[in-house]
Amino acid sequence: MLKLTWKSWLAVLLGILLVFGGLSALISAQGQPKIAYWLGFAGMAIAALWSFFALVHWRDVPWVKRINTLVLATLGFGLLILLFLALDWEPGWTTALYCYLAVLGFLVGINLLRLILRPGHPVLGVARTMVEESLRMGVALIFIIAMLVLLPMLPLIFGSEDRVTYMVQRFLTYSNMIVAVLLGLMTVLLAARTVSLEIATRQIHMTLTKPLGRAQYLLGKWLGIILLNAVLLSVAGIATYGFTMAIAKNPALNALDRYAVDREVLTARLAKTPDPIDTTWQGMYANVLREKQLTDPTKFGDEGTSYAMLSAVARQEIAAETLGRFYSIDAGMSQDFLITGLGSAARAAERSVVEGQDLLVNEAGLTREQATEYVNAAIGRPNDLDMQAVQQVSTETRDKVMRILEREVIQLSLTPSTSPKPENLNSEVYLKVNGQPWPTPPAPTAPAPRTRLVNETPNELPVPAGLINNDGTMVLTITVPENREDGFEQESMRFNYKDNVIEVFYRVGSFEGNLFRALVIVWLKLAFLAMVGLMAGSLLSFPVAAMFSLIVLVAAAASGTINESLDSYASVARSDNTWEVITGTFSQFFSQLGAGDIYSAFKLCLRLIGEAFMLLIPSFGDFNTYQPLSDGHVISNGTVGNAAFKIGLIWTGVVAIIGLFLFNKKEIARVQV
Amino acid sequence: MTQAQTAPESSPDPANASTDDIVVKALGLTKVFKDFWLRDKVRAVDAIDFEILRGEVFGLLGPNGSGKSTTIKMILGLLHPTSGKLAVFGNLPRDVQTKKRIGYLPEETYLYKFLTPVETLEYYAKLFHLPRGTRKKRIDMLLDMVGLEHAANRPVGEFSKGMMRKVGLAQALINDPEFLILDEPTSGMDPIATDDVKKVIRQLRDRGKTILLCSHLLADVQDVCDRVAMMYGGKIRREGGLDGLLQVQEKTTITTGALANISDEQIVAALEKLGVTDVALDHPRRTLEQVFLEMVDEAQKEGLQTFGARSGRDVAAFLQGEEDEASAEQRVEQQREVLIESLVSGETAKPAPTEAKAPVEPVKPAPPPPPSETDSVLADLTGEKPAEPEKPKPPPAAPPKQPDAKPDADAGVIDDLLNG
Repeated sequence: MLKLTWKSWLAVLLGILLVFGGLSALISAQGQPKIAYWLGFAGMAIAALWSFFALVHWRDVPWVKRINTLVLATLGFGLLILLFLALDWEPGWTTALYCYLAVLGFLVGINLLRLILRPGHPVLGVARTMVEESLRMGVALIFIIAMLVLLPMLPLIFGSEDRVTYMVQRFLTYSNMIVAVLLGLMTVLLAARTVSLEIATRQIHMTLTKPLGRAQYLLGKWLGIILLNAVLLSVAGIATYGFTMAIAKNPALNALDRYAVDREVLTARLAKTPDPIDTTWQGMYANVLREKQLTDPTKFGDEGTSYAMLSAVARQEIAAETLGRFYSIDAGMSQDFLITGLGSAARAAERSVVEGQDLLVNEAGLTREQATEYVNAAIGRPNDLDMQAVQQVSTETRDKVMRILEREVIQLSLTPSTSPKPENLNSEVYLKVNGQPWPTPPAPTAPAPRTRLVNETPNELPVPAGLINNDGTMVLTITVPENREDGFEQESMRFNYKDNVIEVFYRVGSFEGNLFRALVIVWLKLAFLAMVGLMAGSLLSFPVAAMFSLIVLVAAAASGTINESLDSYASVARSDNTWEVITGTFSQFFSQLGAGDIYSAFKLCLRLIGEAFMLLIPSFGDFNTYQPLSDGHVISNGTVGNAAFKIGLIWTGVVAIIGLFLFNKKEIARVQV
Repeated sequence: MTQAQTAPESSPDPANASTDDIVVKALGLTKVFKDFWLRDKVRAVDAIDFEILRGEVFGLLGPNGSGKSTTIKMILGLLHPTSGKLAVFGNLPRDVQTKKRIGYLPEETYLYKFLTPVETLEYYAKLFHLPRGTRKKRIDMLLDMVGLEHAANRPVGEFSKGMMRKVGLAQALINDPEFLILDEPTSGMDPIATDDVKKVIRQLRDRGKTILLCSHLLADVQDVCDRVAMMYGGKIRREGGLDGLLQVQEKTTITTGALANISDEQIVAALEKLGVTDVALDHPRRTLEQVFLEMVDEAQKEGLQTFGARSGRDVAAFLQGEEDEASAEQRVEQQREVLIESLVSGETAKPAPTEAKAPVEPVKPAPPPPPSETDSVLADLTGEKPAEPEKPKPPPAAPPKQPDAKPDADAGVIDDLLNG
């Protein structure tokens, strides 16, 4: 009987693939794609069975397992993709394709990791064992399966009647949340388990009696976990990106929906708010201060008292009053808001303007002057458009020019506060950008159109970037008309200055780059959690260490909410000066005690304890990635650098130093007498 | 006779040992475990003094809870002494560089169950900074030695206790340690594997390595140890050379070949004529272990298969001081040259120095206790010296108890190992 060797196995496998692949290609060329798919499907199925046989036959050879897992995954997913192709079900095969890419990414990543950890350094040895531990325990596998099952299911939950923009935004938010939660839990439990269990089962006796320092041991464990996390996050990134693109390809509700998906979500935009160093603003401060001094000289001083000489509380009051006035416009009045630093958007716009002009000159045969006027009119700049020239431009060229110009569009985001009159769900305003009415009136003589804004909602209005001044400044003029078109009574319009209510967004990067930076930040957070878990596990038993690490995970993730809750639970004096806050809080505490208000004093105490605890927990909320990703806001390199410094270096470093100090003091063995 | 030749004959004497010869030195070593309120709960080790000398097999004996394991854990740096001094190779036990020279087999084998023996040994070899080539070579040799090469790629979690123990032994030897600590090394092992372990211990001792053996199986200790310390209640109650502790000075045993034509009565009468009283005659008995080993040897010769660990293998070449095949080939070449030279000059060929190393023993019934120690005792008693050819150890190339007299070949290998 012929002995089965590797070569003969491989030859048969290639033979199966070649025969079925060739036949499938031939039939496909004959115009029978369905039969070709089914033939390919049958070939894949036979190849998968043959491969499975090899997996069983040479199961003890390690590299056989590795190769075969890859082969089996390829064939298995190939089968699924072909099946869906034959059934002509696009969401099915695209999802299967991205799942396969994610699995492929995982297999390649893990083998790459093994290669990186191959050298003989003890730290790399510990890291490699850590990676193998989590792989063979099935932790990574569970994560991959959970992710590949949960993520494709998300769009099913949203339903198909929604706008594509919302579907993409929700998917991005929830998928990133699911990935962060799953990986966070995996990291914390894995880290807390590995050292505590090695101490409990005494495996650590074998390791620490070798020439390996305790710091090296923990460093190796940490390295193993964070490298595994890097692979798993890459897989999550591939899956998230693939599924996002698949969802974004759904038919949009309307043109605005498509615009929003492409320009407001799947992009990376930077936001600019009105510049506080505005002369209007400065003057308003002085006015408010003067008015306050006249009504309450004991608190705000006399005419000679400047803003800087006031107490923290008085300064807070003046600032709030000034900002409140600055962001409210009475009926029939206008307010200018200066936005600076839009240079890169202006330069990008200028490039698209020149490109559009070139196209008009080359394709439509306009003169340079005519082309300039044409483009100016298209983007709402003042112009002297020659209507005859317009006739010269074909519909095709016009569409091309518009596509070029639309490429560089900024978004103006306005969020008016809720009106005191509940029936007024909207606000009506006239907008001007650098003196030009926006939207552009249909004809030069026509009245400027009003813009209706929905209250309490960010209203994003696309504005051509070409309207920005060359120095990157933009003056936004908001005018509130005296009467409303809908017949309701007009009133003053207010913006809640605490939130970013007036913003200008402009594109500074791609969605892919943004997703990558978001994943890097998640990875840094996981690196911190891994260190917390390891240190807890090296000092405490597994259940206690896991509980402790989970508390840190939850507190860090919800730090923003917890801090807000603490703030509203018991209020204390605010100031930029920390010393003033401390003394203010103590005097508040004693005055409450003195007044017999023990309950308030107790609440203040609780708040202080809560704040002290939160001081020890890094605020992951400062580096939120879900919201910027789904809103298409840029996660800048600066933010990543800041996260790397604060979370990756400072917080992780502090935990490592404290943990290592205690671990070095600890006796690894136990009493056995 | 030179000092180098006589030294192995006698038991190591701590009193005469120089600082370089001391591997472990404990002075007033105490370990007290305290309760939550810092009150003394257990005095596990109570002000003990002892020394372990280079090149000796030191046995640590005692009933359960006598403080043996605590002492070992302090030597390994896993526990900190409450008071007293403890130095290993003249350094603190937790010194990382010191640990490079130590091999440790714990009482129970705590291995990563998800790793295969190859991966396990690879992991521990990496902790010793061993270069890749050396790692691979040693792992192959050790797996072959402990008879696990057929299970090299199965997860350790599937192994029996004895097989796990063998992986544990292999990891303890991966760095070719100068000081080997074996805590119950033969627990869970069958007699063949036990014999293999003893073989390794003897081989290492012959190469001048130091071994600390902690065991309840007193027969094992008796077979291999040079010196023992017996602990009870955290204190050392007896300490000394094995011969001194075991020899019954008041009685004498005479062993001869089979006496077919002489009856027992004739022998008794002859001895009584010489004034010897209390004469008892008996035939020497084999131990059950010897019979068992013979059975396995026969079965292996018949080629019967086993799925468990295969025992009765040769000690790994690097543990015999032969790091690789190249050095073995060089040795053969040397011997050939000596032989040719002697033939040309007409003299009888003398073996090259390295040839006299303890030869690898084939599987056979457990050998009777080495006669050298008995002989030396007899020689001390009678003032005579035992016949030279009957002395199976020490091999001239590696006098075990004189590190200074170690041949360059050995030193070179150790240097190579230490320097990676």
